[in-house]
Amino acid sequence: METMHSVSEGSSVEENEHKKKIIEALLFAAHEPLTTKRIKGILETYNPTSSEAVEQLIGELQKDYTTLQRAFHIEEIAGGYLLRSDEVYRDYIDQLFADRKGERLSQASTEVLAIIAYKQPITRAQVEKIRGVDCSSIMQSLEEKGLIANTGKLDAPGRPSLYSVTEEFLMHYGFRDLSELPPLSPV
Amino acid sequence: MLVQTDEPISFTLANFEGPLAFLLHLVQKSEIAVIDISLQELTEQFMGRLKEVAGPDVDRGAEFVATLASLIWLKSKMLLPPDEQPTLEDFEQEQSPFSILPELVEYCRIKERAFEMREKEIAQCGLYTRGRDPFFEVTRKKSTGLERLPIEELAKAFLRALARAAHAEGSIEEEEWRVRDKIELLRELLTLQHPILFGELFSPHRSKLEMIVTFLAILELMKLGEIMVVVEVGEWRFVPHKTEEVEHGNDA
Repeated sequence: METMHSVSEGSSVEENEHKKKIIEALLFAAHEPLTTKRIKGILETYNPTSSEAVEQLIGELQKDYTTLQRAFHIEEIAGGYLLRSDEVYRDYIDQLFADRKGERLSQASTEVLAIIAYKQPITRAQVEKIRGVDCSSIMQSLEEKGLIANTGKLDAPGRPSLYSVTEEFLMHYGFRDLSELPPLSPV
Repeated sequence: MLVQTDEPISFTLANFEGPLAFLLHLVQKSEIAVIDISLQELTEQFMGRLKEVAGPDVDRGAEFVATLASLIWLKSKMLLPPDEQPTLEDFEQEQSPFSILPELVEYCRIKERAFEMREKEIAQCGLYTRGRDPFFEVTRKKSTGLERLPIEELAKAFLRALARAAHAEGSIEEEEWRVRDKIELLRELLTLQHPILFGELFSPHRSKLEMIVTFLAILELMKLGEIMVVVEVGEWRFVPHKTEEVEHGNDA
C-alpha cells in the first residue's frame, strides 16, 4: 500500500532501510520487550524519526520476515516488541531445552492467577474468599516466579498487601497488555 | 481423644475443592436429575466424612441441614416454568443464602478463563523469545532459618559452647581441623541422620579449634543454602534445606 517514501518525511529509501536494520539489531540484542518510545529514542541518534515512522518500519520488517519465511517474527508482547520463534519449529527448539522441563502452571495456580488478573489489585484474603480455600502457598509460589507482585497495601486493619499481575505474566501468556484478557462475562 | 478439625468439611464430589465450588457446580447444572444425584452422593459423603472426623460436631451438622434446605429451595425454584425462573439479580435481593450466587457465578467464569489460559499457555510454550530463558527464574533466597533466629543468638550459643570447652578435661591432642573437611562431614551427616542437634555438634568434649572450624563450616553451608537452623522444643538443630518442587502439572 504505502510506498517506502511515505514512511517518514525527509528520509530517503536508503535511510529507512538502514533504520530497519537498526531496529532489527536492537530487537536481536534486547533482553526485554522494546517500546516504540525506546526504539524511537535510539533511532533519533541517527536522524529524526517519529513514532509513526517507527511503527511503520516495524510493520515493514514484519512483512519482510513473512516474505522471506524467517523462522522468527517480531511480535508485540507485554507492551513492547520482541522476537519470537515460529510455532512451526517448536519441536526442534524444545530439544535445545530438553533437560529443563517446560514449566506450566497447575490448574489451581492458574485459577489463583486468573482471580488476581481479573480483580487486581487484590489481597490474599480476598482471593481466598473467592476461591473458598487457602491460597497462601500458591500465591507465594506465583510471587517467586515473578508472575504476581506486591503493589501496595490496603488501607484496612492489618494493612494487608495488594497483589497484581506483572509483565512476566503478560509474557508468559503472550498478551500485549491486560486489555487482551478475554472479558469475564460472556459477550 | 476425639479428633477435631477446624477447616470446613469440603466435599470431594467430582473433583471439587471446597463447598463453594460444589454449590457452583449445582448452579451450572440446570438438569434436575443431576441435582438429585448430587444431593444423594453429598449426603452419603457427608455421613462418611462425619464418621471419619469422629464425634458429631453440632455446628457442622446444623450447617449441613441449612445448606441442604437451601438446595432444596433452589431446586424448587428451578421447577418453575422457564419464564418464571429467577435471574441472578433476583438472588442478590433475596435474603436467602443464595445472595452469594452472583459471586459463585463470577468464580465459575474465572474458572473458565483459567481453563482457557492454560490452553493459551500450551500454545505459548512453543514460542521462544530472543534474549530470555524459557523457564521461570525463581527469585526466592533460600531460608537459613535466621529470620526466626537472629544470628546473634546463634553466635552467643556458640561462644557459650566454646567457653565450656575451655573447662573440659581431656587429653591434649594436636589435631588439624579444616573447614573443608568439616563441610564434607556435615554433608554426610545430613544425608544419614537429620536433624543434627546443636548440642551434639558443639559438645564440651570437643576441642575449641574443632568447634570453631565446625561453626565456620555451618555458616558456609548456610550461605550455600544447603543447611538451615530450626528451633524445636527449645532445642536448636540443623537440617538440610528443603526446596519447593517446581510444578510439573501437579496441583500446588
